[in-house]
Amino acid sequence: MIYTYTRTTPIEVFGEVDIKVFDKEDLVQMEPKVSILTENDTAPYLLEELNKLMFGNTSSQSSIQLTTDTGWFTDRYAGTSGETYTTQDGKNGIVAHVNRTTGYVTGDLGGGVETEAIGHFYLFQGLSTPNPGSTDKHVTWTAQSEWDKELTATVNGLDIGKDYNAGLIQPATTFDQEEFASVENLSPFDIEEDDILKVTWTMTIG
Amino acid sequence: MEDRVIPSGQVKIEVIKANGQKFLELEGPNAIHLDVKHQMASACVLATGAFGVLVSAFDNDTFTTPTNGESGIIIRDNASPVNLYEMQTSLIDDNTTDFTVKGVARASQNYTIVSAILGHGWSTGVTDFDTRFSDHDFASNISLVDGDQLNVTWKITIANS
Repeated sequence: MIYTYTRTTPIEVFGEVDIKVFDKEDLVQMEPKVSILTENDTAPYLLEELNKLMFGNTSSQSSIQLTTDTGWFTDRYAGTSGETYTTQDGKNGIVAHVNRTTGYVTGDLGGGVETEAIGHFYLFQGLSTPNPGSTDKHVTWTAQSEWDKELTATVNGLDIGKDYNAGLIQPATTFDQEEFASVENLSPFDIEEDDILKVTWTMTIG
Repeated sequence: MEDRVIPSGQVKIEVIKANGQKFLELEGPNAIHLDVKHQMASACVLATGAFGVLVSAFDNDTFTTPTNGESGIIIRDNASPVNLYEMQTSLIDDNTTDFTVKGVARASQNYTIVSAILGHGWSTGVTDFDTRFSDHDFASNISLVDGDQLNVTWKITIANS
């Protein structure tokens, strides 16, 4: 006689994104000009990698390690590199989609020299990634950047991930291969000159 | 932080006779243990060690005591004190957001099995996994006799909230 018992057990990954805008004169960040608490969409990449870790038989892993200490963005704007990729190419972190140009990429893909504008604002300051406590089932990344351009920008999306690769072919792309999560249905809000955009991104394994 | 544990999954129980005829099917709830949730969260920021359920998978199907340091499915009987047995554990299916492992144990005498545990890194010292994934009490005890085979199939699914 053969007895077969089948169990199906689901795990949910939940992300919460705390978005705040402060005037840079608000040194203790007590009075946000904008405060939004919203949920994210966890990217298929992260779900797949976590799934692999649960059944994998490898002796170690580091593929999804994302920390503000290593490989994080090092500037707030894309800049003008004169190359087909930005100076932030290959870096990790949190990026805001804005309706202003923060830099350009340039190159010849065979049809003459082309230039594409990049509308990404990278959060590279005020960084922290506390290690989860011994019983924690969540992780939090915090980052901010000051918008110091004269023109007001509208923020309409946020992404978090690894290996940023916007470029001449894909100027709107952020983390097409290793995206952790995104906020797609964000209610747009403005950041003015000297405003600080601060994001605290928490992901929980439910 | 809101706890986002969703309604737990289901336990499907099938009893199949030697000729392949199925004669029993039950379903019940289950839950994911905090251990593996913590490991998954940690893996997002730290270079953690492997915690998969197939790291040094149990390879005995003859009702032997769980091997120290191995992983997979363990079953418990109704004796006092309780006896624990490893199941020969293998991966039978994997997709982008789910995987299924199967444990097999073949009885050569009578046993009454009451529950099962899925986890990584069995420790004979503390009599527990270092990363427990899930455990389940069977809705009714499973009585096995010489020649019976017990199969436990465990499917884990991950999803965006």
